[in-house]
Amino acid sequence: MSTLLSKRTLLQTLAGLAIASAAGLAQARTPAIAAIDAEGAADIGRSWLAQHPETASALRADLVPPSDDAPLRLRSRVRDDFRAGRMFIHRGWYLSETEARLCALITIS
Amino acid sequence: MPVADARSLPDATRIEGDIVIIGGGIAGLSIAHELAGTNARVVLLESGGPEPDREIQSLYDGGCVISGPGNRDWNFTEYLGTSRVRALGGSGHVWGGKCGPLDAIDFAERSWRPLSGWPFGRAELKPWYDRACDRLRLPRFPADDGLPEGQALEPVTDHQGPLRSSPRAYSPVSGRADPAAFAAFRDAPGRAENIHIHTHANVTGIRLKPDGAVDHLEVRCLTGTRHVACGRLYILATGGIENARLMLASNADRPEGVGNATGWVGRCFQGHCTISTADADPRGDAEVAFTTDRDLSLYDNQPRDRAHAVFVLSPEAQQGLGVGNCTLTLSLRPKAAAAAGSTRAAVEQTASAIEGPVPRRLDYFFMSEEAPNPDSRITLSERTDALGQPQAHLEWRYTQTDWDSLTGSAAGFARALGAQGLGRLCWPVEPETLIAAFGPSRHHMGTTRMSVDPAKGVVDADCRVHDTPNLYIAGSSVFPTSGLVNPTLTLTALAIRLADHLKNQLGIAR
Repeated sequence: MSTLLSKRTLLQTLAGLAIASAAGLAQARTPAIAAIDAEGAADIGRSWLAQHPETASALRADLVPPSDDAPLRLRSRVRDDFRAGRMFIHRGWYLSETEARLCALITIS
Repeated sequence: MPVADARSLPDATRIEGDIVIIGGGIAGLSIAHELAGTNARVVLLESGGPEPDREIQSLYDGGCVISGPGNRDWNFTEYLGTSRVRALGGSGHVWGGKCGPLDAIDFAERSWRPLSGWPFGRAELKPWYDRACDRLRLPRFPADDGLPEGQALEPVTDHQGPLRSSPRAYSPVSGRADPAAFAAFRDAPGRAENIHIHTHANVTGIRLKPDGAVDHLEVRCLTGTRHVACGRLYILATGGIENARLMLASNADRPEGVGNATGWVGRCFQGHCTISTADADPRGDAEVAFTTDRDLSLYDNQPRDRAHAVFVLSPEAQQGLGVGNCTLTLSLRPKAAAAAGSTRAAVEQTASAIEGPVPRRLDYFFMSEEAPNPDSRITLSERTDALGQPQAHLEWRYTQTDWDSLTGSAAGFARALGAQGLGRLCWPVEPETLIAAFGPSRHHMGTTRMSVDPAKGVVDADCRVHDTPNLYIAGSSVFPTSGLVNPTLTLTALAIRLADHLKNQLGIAR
């Protein structure tokens, strides 16, 4: 029961993110992104937003612009974050800023 | 010669040799191995017998307090008695056998690490590292920081990025893992005609001539008998705590003790503390989540029959972060799955969405090199042991520099893992709980530090005490900085190097 609800919640989240319609990202990454635990992501996302107030539309435009190479750009951006030390620490986890922003987007969409 | 029990010698026996070694642990025995079969008469004085004994072991009792900024002091009174063994073979009786050379950066003078720098580098020590590997039955390690020859498993790092792989291997000369191999190492020197081992012989005083050279040693047995030992050259090899204790307690001729004109004896104690994720975070969140599907078998530290690797940060990364050396050692035992709705689940799934592979959740333990701190030191207690000797007291003191290095290193690993697409790190330890999360090792280093400048240390590059011309020190107490690898291979290499030096000094031949 809870698994079904969780999946439904995730699908709704993805719809809100408009990731399903983002070219490239939808094809290459939807299954993986859909697997992100929305509840856990919200824990991270709320923490990020408490320190960095941003709107959903701004985050969406920044993180998932319509682009064929969006997945690769996201990966490259995450690695650049780590390389430059742009990290967000939550409950001991060292995340890239981009990952934290992604969780924030999931939270407020 | 057969091993002799000093308790059975007539009172006031004069024990004489060309070289007198104080202490029959791995350092002292390694020198005896090298001198066996030569024309030098070698005397080795050991406090214990062939096996550990409770009464003798109690001579190691003393005090220990571990402290650091913002943390509660840890009054760890058992540490001095439980972290070493007073018997022929020394702490080798309980040693697990893990070995590796220090990384090249450990020998370097690092501008961001005060009191760093050895008088020589790893490449210069390579010939003695090789012989130490042979003595301890290990594969030889290359001159750089690479893996031993014949290593079949591939590292997931190269020599370009911030994350590197540093090798380790297990020696069978380990009382815990292979008692027969250890006994063979311990007993072989005593079979040589020129090696005279005296057990139950406690050196309680180093007596000096007016010119500062050692004149003789005072030797006592727990039965009450007393002897003296005399030689041309003396080697102190009683361990990282006891070397300092004996030098400080030998204050009959000089009030500051032996070799302590500049006050460095006992200072700069360094140990290795591990922080295990399993212990540090009872919630079980702490882990490293690997987002690569490459084989990690090389990093499994359990098999004893092959080398393994730990992760370290590159010298450039250490300098950039302003930290000391640090290691991350994996356990490849699978962890339980993350609970639905947890931060851990979200992190792993986000990382998987970015990097591709489903993360492998692994426990790790973390180590961070502490900086030499003159206030972290061995002093003499007012309490005495059964021989009337003052006990040692260890004030093991961490500084804010250590805390900054520790947390900076954890962040450095997280950065390096993420930048190389290898994974994500959870480091859950709050700064005020660091000491509570510590697992102190049995590695005791730095208390008779090596330095070219007599004003900044106790022994010179040959391990000779600066102001005591016929006294040498063997063991990890001479390490100026500790690195993070287990010290036994390096102290064995230094002991063999010292034996070569002594042969040259005395013109010893086979």
